[in-house]
Amino acid sequence: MRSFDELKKEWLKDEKFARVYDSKRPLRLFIRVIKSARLEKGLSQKDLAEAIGTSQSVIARIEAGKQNISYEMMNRLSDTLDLKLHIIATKEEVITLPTGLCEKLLTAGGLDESSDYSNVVRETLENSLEVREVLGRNPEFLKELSTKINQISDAYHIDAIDAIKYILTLGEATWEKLESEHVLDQPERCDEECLAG
Amino acid sequence: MRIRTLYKGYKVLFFENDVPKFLNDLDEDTKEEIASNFGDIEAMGIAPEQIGKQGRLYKPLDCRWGTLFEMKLRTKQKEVIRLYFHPDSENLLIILLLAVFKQGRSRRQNADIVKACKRLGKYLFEAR
Repeated sequence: MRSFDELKKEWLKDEKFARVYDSKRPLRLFIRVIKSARLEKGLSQKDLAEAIGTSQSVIARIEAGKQNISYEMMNRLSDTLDLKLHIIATKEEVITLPTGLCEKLLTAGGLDESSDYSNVVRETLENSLEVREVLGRNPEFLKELSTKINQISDAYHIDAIDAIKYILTLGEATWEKLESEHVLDQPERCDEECLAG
Repeated sequence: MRIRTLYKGYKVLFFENDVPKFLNDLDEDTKEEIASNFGDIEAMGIAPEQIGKQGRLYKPLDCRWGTLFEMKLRTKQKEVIRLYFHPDSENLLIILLLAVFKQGRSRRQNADIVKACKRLGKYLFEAR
């Protein structure tokens, strides 16, 4: 028997697949957060469809990734589910995590393996080209990263999202660098420009 | 009404030889769809509304060893592929068989599913 994770890791070594996978990442995450929020609220697809004035089949297609979603629809879905929509375009390999995920990440010390977000967070991090390699070597990465986020957040008086952005935008960063504690000794690297992400 | 998802946190596993070989030959978009669907199942499970009627994501198929779920995908070449998985009792979703069906299912293809079910039965028996 073999796990799908192993196969996916093999696939991600293939540049062509990695490109397709990475290009669809923002949409996939959007869909996942929407679906997760809907389930948390105890809404069926039909309930959500009625709330935003569309049909259940449209919601089903959106959640299955088979619908090209307009910006207006993204807004309507986010509003209805009490979510805040952020769209960013950047040259850097930046991962934008919704606030809910950041909160979960911050408490990763006690992160419940079965929680809705743990796999989402893990996948989000795995999708970062810089983090992917490191994660394979260090299964404790999530927990340690969470501690690091807390430390950076405290040291620089910045919020969690910015701390995560800071970590993920360190150009040539590797886990060794983060682990060496030097991150905290280099406040000049975390300037306005870095956080503008 | 509270929606409870099924199989949340289950790991997706499959039999070693045929399935990875089959998956590797698919186009990138189809692979991405499969990866995304499996990721969803592992992270959020399957909502009951995704199972059942025609057109829904996972179609149930009863067999002697329980219920198999069918994941239907359309490749770039407009080929329909169907992937069957069976929820084991130990947090595993075992992928049984991948099949390419142009139109419906032939008797031979049905026989393949039965064969795969038997293999699953054997696996479950040995695993316990």
